[in-house]
Amino acid sequence: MHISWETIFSNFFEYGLFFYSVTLLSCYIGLSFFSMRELNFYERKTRASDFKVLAPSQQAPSISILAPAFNESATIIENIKSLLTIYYNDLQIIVINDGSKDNSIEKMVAAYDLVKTEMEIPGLIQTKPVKAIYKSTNAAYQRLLVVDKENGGKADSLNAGINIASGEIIVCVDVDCILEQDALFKIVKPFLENAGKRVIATGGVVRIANSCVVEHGKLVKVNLPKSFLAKMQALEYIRSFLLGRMAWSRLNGLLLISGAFGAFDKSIVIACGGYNTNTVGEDMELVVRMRRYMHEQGLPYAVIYIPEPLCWTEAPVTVKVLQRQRNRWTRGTIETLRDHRKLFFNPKFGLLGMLSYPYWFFFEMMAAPIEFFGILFFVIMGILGEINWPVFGWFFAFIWSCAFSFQPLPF
Amino acid sequence: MELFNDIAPSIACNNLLNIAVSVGFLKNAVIVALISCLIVLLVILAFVLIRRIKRRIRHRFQQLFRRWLADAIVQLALNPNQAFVISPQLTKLLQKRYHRLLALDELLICKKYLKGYAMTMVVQLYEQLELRKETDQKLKSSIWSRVVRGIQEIYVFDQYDAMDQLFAFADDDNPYIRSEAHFGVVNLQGFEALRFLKQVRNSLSDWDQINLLHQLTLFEARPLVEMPEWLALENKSVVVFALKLLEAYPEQQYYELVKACLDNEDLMVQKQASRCLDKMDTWIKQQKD
Repeated sequence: MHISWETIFSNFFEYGLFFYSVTLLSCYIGLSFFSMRELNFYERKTRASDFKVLAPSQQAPSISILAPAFNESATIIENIKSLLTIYYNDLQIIVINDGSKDNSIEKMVAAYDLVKTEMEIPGLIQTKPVKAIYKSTNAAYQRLLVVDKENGGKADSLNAGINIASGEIIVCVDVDCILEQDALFKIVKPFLENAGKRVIATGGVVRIANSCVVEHGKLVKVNLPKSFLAKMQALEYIRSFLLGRMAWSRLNGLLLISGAFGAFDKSIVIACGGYNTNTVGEDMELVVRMRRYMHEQGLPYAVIYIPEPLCWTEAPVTVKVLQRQRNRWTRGTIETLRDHRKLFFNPKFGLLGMLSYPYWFFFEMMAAPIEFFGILFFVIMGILGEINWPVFGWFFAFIWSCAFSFQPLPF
Repeated sequence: MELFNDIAPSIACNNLLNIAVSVGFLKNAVIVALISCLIVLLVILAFVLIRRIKRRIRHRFQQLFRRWLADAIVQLALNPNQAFVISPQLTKLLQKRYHRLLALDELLICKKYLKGYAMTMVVQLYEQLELRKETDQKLKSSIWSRVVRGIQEIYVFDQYDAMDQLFAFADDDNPYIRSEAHFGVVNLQGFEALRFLKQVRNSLSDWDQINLLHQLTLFEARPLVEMPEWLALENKSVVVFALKLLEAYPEQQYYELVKACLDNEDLMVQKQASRCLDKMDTWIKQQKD
């Protein structure tokens, strides 16, 4: 049997793309199933839970909130005020000024009666030099600590925060995010459940705050974003958080905790060496490295996701900013997967190596180039007159009728 | 080229795909997909309709029940020691299991938010309507979330006679049933209920411990007479909890026992013992001053 190069090329694209599409759709169906089960389980599990008992408890774990800030002088005072309204017995709020070029630090000093304080910083993780640490003289703000350091990026700022943090659990937030009042209780609870596995990280649903009403750092009314781009992102966030991450949480294969709001076991973070400053996807990289560390140590662990909106953030409304954000996210994914290529189909890492990593590799990282080449191949074949248009038309109709039949239920 | 011939798709696979992408096959596939689309739409419509009808029935009953309950509580507050007078309409509705479960949910919410005499009246109504039957059925359920709901009803409606049932759940294999049972017995009996600690083989999570300690703050402190036994248990999570109890309610007589826990092989026990000793030292110093 003789097959020409042309046939091989054509078959590679035809069968390859067909196989890719079928596998991706099968993955989505599988993930929907796991997500549904996890959502149902969470709803039943927390129905009678009173999260508020954590707030005054002397036995609840100590928490340090780390909020890096760079050139945020326009909103920093309001944002810190919002963090200070959180009620929790053993809470430390660390704002890290990452060498801002504006007057953020002056504004914070004036607004919160900050004074420089002498504090020995344990060099657990190497960071850019810390210029000063500020504490408030006002008793109302005694939980606040402001770190002024040389510019080193978000990951470096978070590492500086980890060095200073006294809490057993560190909660990393974007300083401009609005947290739900009970967000901290919900994100910390999984660490206390001791279900035979050590919980190393938890995250929650991040929602789009565009067009929502915010008063005194609290979200008082939820609205659908007015901008088309933000509207699409709102939909995308819900799909991504409630479908993908819940399902991966159920499978204990979650690779990403959003950098906007995530809680981590400090001792494990330190054992792993903190955030990687050489990647733009530091949030994903840390979770992958923590998982890898736990696997290598042979310790049972879990990364948990909470299907409730815990944090609200402003989504980009211009194409330029959105493009920059997506570029950063994609580069972050590529860098993380490249750095941890050892996991790729490595049975030593169980589900992480055999399922989570390959899924991210093929369907998150490779999706854009594969889809691009698929469309390109189709166009070339069309130009060369190789497309059977009646087949294409019926196939297109079939796919769309399937899409309408199995679209998500409208309630 | 020979190598590529080997890895090229087989003829059988090729034939199958040729059939799959033939116009005739795809025409049939589209018809099947459109019919299934229609069926799915009909199912969705039926589902939405049933939900709306159910919601309306539920809403109507809730309105009726709430209005009646508010009036009945006021009437009973004015004329104590009387039974609730249930309207014929409500009596008829409450014969159906669905409505009884709705009434139970309403009373559960009501009991949580009421205080004083009104609170006791809700319990009285729970008993008068014989809703315990529904609770008992939930306790027998094989679905853990229903059992949890049943346990919740037992302690919310102060069903002290069900204590034995709750104690039986205290070492259940399901962590959620276990947790709710622990909370339930302590909610009903306070410090006295801590006797369940000796029968627990499963681990007591940190979340359970925080909940129990919080619940105990609502009761008057009592001497922790079983402390030596708790500290000698094999279940390390119970030992940690006992040490937390001593931290919250220090008793000097157990100082040496706590000190001995510093030599325990379990790291958590050691850590908690050290913390407990710190608190006890401060407390002893305060007592002396």
